[in-house]
Amino acid sequence: MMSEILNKVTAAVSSGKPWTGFEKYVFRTFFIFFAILLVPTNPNYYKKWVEVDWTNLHIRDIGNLSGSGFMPIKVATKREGGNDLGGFREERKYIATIYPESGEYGAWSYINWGIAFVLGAIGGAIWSVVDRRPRNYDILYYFLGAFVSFAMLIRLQGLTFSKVFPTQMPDLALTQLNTPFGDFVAQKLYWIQFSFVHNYERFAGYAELLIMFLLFFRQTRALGAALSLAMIGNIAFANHAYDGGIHLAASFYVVGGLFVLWRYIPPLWRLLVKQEDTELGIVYYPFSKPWEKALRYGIKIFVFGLFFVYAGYAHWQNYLYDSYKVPALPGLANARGLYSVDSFNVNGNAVPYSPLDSVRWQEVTLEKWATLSFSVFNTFEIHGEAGRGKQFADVDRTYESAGTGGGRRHYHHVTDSVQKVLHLQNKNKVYGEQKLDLQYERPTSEQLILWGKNEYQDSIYVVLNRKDKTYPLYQDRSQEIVWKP
Amino acid sequence: MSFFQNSENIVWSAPKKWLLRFFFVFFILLIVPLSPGYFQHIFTTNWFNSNFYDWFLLTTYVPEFFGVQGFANWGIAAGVAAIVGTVWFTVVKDKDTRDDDIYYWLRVILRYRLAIGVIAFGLIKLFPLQMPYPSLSNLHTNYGDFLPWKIYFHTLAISQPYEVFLGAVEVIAGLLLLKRSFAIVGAGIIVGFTGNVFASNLAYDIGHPEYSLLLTLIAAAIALYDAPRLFSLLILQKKAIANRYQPVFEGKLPAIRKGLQISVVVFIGILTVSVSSNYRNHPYKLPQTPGLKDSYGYYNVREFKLNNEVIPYSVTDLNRWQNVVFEKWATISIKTAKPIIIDNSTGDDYQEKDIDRNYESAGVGGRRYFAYETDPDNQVISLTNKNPNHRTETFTLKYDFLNDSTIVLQGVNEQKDSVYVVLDKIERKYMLYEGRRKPVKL
Repeated sequence: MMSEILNKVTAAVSSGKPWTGFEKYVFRTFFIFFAILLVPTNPNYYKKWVEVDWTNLHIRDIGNLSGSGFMPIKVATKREGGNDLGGFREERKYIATIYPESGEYGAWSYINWGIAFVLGAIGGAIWSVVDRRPRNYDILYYFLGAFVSFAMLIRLQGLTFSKVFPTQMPDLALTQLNTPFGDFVAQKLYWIQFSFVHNYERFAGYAELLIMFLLFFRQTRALGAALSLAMIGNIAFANHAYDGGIHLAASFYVVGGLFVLWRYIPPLWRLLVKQEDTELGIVYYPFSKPWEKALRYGIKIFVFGLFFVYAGYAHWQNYLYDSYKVPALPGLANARGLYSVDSFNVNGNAVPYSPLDSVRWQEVTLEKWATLSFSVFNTFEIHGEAGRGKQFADVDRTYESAGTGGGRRHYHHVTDSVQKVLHLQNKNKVYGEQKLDLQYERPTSEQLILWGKNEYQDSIYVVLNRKDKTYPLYQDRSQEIVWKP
Repeated sequence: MSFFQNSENIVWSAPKKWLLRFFFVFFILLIVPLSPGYFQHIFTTNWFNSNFYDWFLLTTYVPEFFGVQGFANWGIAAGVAAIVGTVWFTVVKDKDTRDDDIYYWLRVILRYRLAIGVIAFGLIKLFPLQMPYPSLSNLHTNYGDFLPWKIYFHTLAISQPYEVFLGAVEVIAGLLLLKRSFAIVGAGIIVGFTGNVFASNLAYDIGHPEYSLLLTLIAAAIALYDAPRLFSLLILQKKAIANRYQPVFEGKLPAIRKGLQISVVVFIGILTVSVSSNYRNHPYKLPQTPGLKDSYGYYNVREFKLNNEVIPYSVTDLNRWQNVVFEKWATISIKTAKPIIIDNSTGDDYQEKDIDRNYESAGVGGRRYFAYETDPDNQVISLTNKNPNHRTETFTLKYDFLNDSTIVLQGVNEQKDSVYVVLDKIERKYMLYEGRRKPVKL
């Protein structure tokens, strides 16, 4: 059935020398493969185009409109939080869910691509049996390349603009600056290495923006494909090496980039290696009729307007007013800093400092936003989320806390400045039920006193003094740098 | 757009002729070793008893004219090139065919220089020496207490397969440069790779911006030769005209050429063998002497006495040891509240003595690093602070293993104050090792 429709379409655009049987089979296989991967079959995806608030489009919405993957099988892990979707609502239906030993990072995570390819190979075979007429797919090949290129550039917009306007790796939290290197998971270290060098993050963003532009035009498509293969292929490798978790999104640029680049390789080889004069010989659809021209420009203008111009604008606004990984609610006014715990009472008894105390707080940090963190000498279950995605609620914006251990605890808080109470909630979702209400007092701007019931229902009384701490991470190596605790 | 004109033969207009001569002299000045230090290295090294770094140093030449540092040398080279190039251009009237030859030989020099440069740096990643795995002491250092370059190195080092992958990319690109017809591919890869290295050098203050930019520039210069062809083929989508120039090797040239090619291959061979041997035997950025047997670990300082006076747990007392790390090699690091003037070097050169192998202690605060020598007969370790800014700080300590997790150290510091410490090993897990593939409690 499908092949009949395709026949009609392709017959209209076929001309020139017929392709060999093998060429036709390979092309049909990839045609079906990319159609399955890239044409959304999830009805919710189309609903979003209607339901979304076009007058107030959020970066989250642009991401949702950018595409919807083919995913009949869910590759999951059984560890808590490992399947975190980063704020995306689970609205798919899966045929099956598998729990491979390598988690969602190993070869098994590519199973849906494998299925799409097998379907492509089978579909290509059936198609070749049904349609035995001579065919020339030059034009269709061009359209498929353009389609894959556009899918690539559209899906890249979020990563591009959240680096151009540094929100993908926002500023480090003070709690991260005061967490030992070994207490971060590798994925988190890979991520936060950009969080204190925003110019480098922007540089990477501009490189991705360049890829988007190059893929947008047929004259520069080969360069765009080569660059995305090199740069985002490198990111894909890194995601495997660090268990980063977005290897599928990145690896798509290897597959897509190779496919788009493929047809340019023989002429490049002839020209550069065999040193023969060469032409590309790509046949373009002429777009000669006015409505065709209008449609082509219409699509290009729409894509450019939405996924370049508006996406850029929306990410800029997000960067200015609500950096999406950082909690939005401000913390206590002028209280940001690292605090020493100078006195700690439990049920009225003073507890002296000990590095081995499982209750007494150490190294307390308050952020610009409403997060309070401290360390204790104890072990906790670690929630498996990655701390990414475009979360709505502050308590779910865990870029600062996900992937860290070593007894460090992070609490989102709501400040009641009339009653002088901090309503704290543990940001580690394993302990999400843990809510503390602590009274506070600030005798001076540098001192904070907290009291109330801790998570074990003991009364605590804590005196915190802000330290004058500078971080070598922000110092210039050509000057003398003095470290102080 | 005459520059992008893709014709059968390069049309050597006057500006192009001048530019060719300018860049020829400019690159020769930046590439051909002229600094006395370089020849001093060649003539003072015992090459029959050499380590990989002696060979490696041969590949990283950057000029230092009149003792000037950094990009100023580029300015000097450009100035000299402008003068010499202009004289050459006005005095010697070469035919167009000579211009093609000059251009060819410039590309040959650039290709070989770049190939050797990137292969050398590729090899020390292929055998992950450049970024060794972070030491246990560094795992026990807060993120904010590192200098940016150290975070960059450690972030690469925690994923050795990635480091190896990056090294392989460099080596392969370098090998492609050795073959004339693949040079464009190698140069294209290097423009992206080393261009990114240059950007990260600036971002993380790593300290080699001139060298990485020089390599990037050379790669771009090599790629430039094929740019008009590629522009014509891919962008204009017209018939692209292939390279017509074929070098003529006459007289003694073929023999010289063969000789040079063989010596480059031999050089790369020696470098590969010596780099791999350094990686297998004693990675050059880490101290060689093994640490005290069974001491490796992280220790809480349960008891601390200074001049026989007990100092309780404290994060503010300047003398109180808070915790101690024993490395696998003969280094211990001690956390105290005493300020540290950070060692601002990057620990990236070859040092014979352990105390000078400062990669672990450079670019990081938070802990005091001591190299130590062991006297096993008297059970004494002698500690010396590795940081050049605190080199006078020493301890001479008698050690006693009470059991497999408790060590007692007693002795004196450099001011003859007596110290007595009891250390308890803490078995703890690290997120870095636990990873993201299974449930974790720590």
